Amino acid sequence: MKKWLCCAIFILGLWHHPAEAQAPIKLARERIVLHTSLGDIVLALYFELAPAHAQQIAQLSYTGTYDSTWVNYIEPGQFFAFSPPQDRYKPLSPAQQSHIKPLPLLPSALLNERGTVSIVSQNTNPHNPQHSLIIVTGRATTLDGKATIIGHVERGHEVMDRIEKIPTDKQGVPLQDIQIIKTEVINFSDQLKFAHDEYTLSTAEYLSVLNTDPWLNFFGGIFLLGILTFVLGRKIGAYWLAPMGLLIALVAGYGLFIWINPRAGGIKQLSYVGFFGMLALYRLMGFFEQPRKRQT
Amino acid sequence: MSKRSLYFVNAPVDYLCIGAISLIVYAFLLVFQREPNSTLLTATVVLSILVNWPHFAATNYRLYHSKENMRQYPMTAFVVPLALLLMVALAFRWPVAAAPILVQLYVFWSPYHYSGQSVGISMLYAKRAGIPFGKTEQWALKGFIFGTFMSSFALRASKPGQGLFYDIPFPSLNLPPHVALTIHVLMWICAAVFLILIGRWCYREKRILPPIILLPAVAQYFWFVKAMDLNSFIELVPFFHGMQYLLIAWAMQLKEKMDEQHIAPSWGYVRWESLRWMAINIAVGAFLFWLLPRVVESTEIAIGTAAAVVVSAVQIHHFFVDGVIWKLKNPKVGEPLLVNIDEMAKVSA
Repeated sequence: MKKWLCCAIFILGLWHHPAEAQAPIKLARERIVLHTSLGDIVLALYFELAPAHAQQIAQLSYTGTYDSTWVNYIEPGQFFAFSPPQDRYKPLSPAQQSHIKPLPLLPSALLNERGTVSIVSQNTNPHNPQHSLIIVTGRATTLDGKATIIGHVERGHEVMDRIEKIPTDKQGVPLQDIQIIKTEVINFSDQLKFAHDEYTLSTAEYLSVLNTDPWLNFFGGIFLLGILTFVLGRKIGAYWLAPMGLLIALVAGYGLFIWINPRAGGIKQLSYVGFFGMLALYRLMGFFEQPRKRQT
Repeated sequence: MSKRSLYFVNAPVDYLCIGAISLIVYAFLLVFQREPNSTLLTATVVLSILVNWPHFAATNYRLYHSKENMRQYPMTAFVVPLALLLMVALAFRWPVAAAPILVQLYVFWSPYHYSGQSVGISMLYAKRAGIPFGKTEQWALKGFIFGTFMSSFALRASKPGQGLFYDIPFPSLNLPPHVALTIHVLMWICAAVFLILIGRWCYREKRILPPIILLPAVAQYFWFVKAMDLNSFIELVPFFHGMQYLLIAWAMQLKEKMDEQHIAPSWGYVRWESLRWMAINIAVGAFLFWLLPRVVESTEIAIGTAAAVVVSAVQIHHFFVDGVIWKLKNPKVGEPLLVNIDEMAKVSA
């Protein structure tokens, strides 16, 4: 009887789990790994909530702009902040410099709670010029409405805690040098490999991902339409139809590759589709257009 | 009727342009400079301006310089650029998701295109030599030439991590390594089949195959397979490809213009038309690869992203145009390509 009661309470608990009540926040497919001198921190970005901010942070991470930035402020129990890229140890290259664009403050309903990642935007904090990454370690009320929330820490909470415990001077500057040695952007396939350490995704799970993705169906459908138009055009000899079909197939193929290629590393079959699919697409484009006969 | 020459210019020039120069440079770099240094990188930039960029421009010139050509290929001339503009717009709108794939499409398409050109040049010299390649010979030769690029790119696609083109990283496909190995074995099988068939033909016809027919295949093997770990050489491969292209496009331009405008053969015509054509191609090349990315940059897109996306799109456009305008089966293309410089420069006695 006790067992059944526990089960019922557990199920009810799940039913009323607060996470269920909230609308889920859509995460970017990519993850950003901060390889710090005290360990790795993995960030997941909110691409829908703060698209321009998240995109720029991803771009800055791709181009290594955060490499050699350092923790310049710790507020114990609340947050720590990295120096802005302009203040990093290694001088920025002109290309990296060109990626740094002003970002406005973007208020959201989210609060700066433990694990939140924010960035300081234009004119919000004179001590932390813009693009400085902030990682919230507790409840940081001082940041609410003053920094744009761009994501959360997905892994590396223990590293976050280690950094927070570093002694500081009176101004909150840590007495130990903590740097981001390297930033890395990992894609969906790398995450799957990451996930394999903890659990294995079955073929059925992979296939369910493939079957339910609306973009895959959309681009796949358009691609097939392009091929059918091409075949029909050649069959009936309509001059414009065959190359038009191939162009539709090319643009849809581009869309398909946007979907396939970042996932290919995690699914062997998809890597074959990506490689041989590209070759097939090039071959197909070789049939593009015959010289038009002159009208007499 | 005088016997038709095997070469566009003469043996040394044709051999050098078609691939011998790449083999000489390979040997030199293998001994003296395995990694690119500043001198080599400067030389690469200069060669890009003088050879590689103009080779792209030559394609555009050939398609767009006359209304007749544009009327012949209206889809390639007008609709392909629109489709590419759409892809470029998608890449700028989603630089993290879409731009890397445009770059990847170009990066893989480029050696495919090189291979297509190498096959075409071999066929062209075979035609000039009056050697009819059968279907099996053609397939075996194509198998070897395309195999060189496919095996090396499959190997590259099997390595983890990301490639980088300007500021745009693109993902690895993480292809299983056995794919590259399988393609490599198939490549050598094709080479063996081709050599056996050609050897049989030589024995039967009591003729020797002119080595220039095989030169593009050999050069291609060095470009993609032998030079995989010779980084200094890899930088120069687009230049070698551009050299091949410019020789043939130049001969075609001289012959076509001479026939269309009924110009009498003379060295003066060859000199001035060559200079005019090359000057236009250098200017158009600089516009496409230097000015255009900077125009895009002025719209607040970072130069690294702008250059990667624009250069990828310009090159994909080139692959399309080339695939359409250089069909040897088309007599308007195949016939003028049998020309020799002497026919255009000297008045026959």
